[in-house]
Amino acid sequence: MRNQPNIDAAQLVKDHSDYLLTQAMRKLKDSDLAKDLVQDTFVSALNNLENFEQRSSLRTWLTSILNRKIIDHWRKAETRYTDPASLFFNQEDNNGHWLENNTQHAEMKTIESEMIRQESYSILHECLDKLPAKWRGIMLAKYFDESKSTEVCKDFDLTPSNLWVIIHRAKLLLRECMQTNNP
Amino acid sequence: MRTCREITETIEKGGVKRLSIQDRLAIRIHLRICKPCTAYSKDSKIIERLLRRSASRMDNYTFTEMEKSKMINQLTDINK
Repeated sequence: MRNQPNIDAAQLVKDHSDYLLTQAMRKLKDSDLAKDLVQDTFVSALNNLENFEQRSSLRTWLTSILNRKIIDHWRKAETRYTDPASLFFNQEDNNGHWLENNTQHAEMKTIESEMIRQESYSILHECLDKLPAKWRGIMLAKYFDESKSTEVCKDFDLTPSNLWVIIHRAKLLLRECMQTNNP
Repeated sequence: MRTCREITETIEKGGVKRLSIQDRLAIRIHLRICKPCTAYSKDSKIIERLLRRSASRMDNYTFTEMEKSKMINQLTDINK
């Protein structure tokens, strides 16, 4: 029998629960769900300790279990795949001038300088929170964590073209939201 | 002729993978004549910059001590 790592539940929770919860909250907005999935992660980990390859760190291993649980959750939630585009664009927008009505809004350049001057990004974060949870998670992974696109696709169960379509819609929504909420 | 939606999607495609010469040319020609797409292309970069800048200000989340001890109790039962 292989040498079993000596890991007990109390130590696991003490060392990793807050980290895993923060990771889960990046991808899910619902904190009850995030807490449940972190607990499920510990259950799976303790039941499968023999699968833990000590080449990777315990935290990395736990994070990969958590990520799989989050993907499973999404797969169940998205039984019917809807093209994200269809949520925001009408048929006639396809060849129309849907970007044009943006011109009367505040300039993003001005919003950017204001945010930097005030060192306050609360509007941006509020707007991020209005995105669908998965989109928000994708934007955070791509631009906060600077994850590689291939990693983002893997973690979020996406094809590359899903990824850029979502980034496109998310940016349009963020821009719209920031421009309309700009004081 | 590609639509504005296709052009702006292709701009984002360029952030995910390397664009073909056709894609790059299509964007360049379109942006020369299209103000809204030019604005989108600039705003897209601004949003990326703002996201990167604000990254360190993201909240951390924690379990309460009570939630932790409850979780430990439940996990210890499994671990036996």
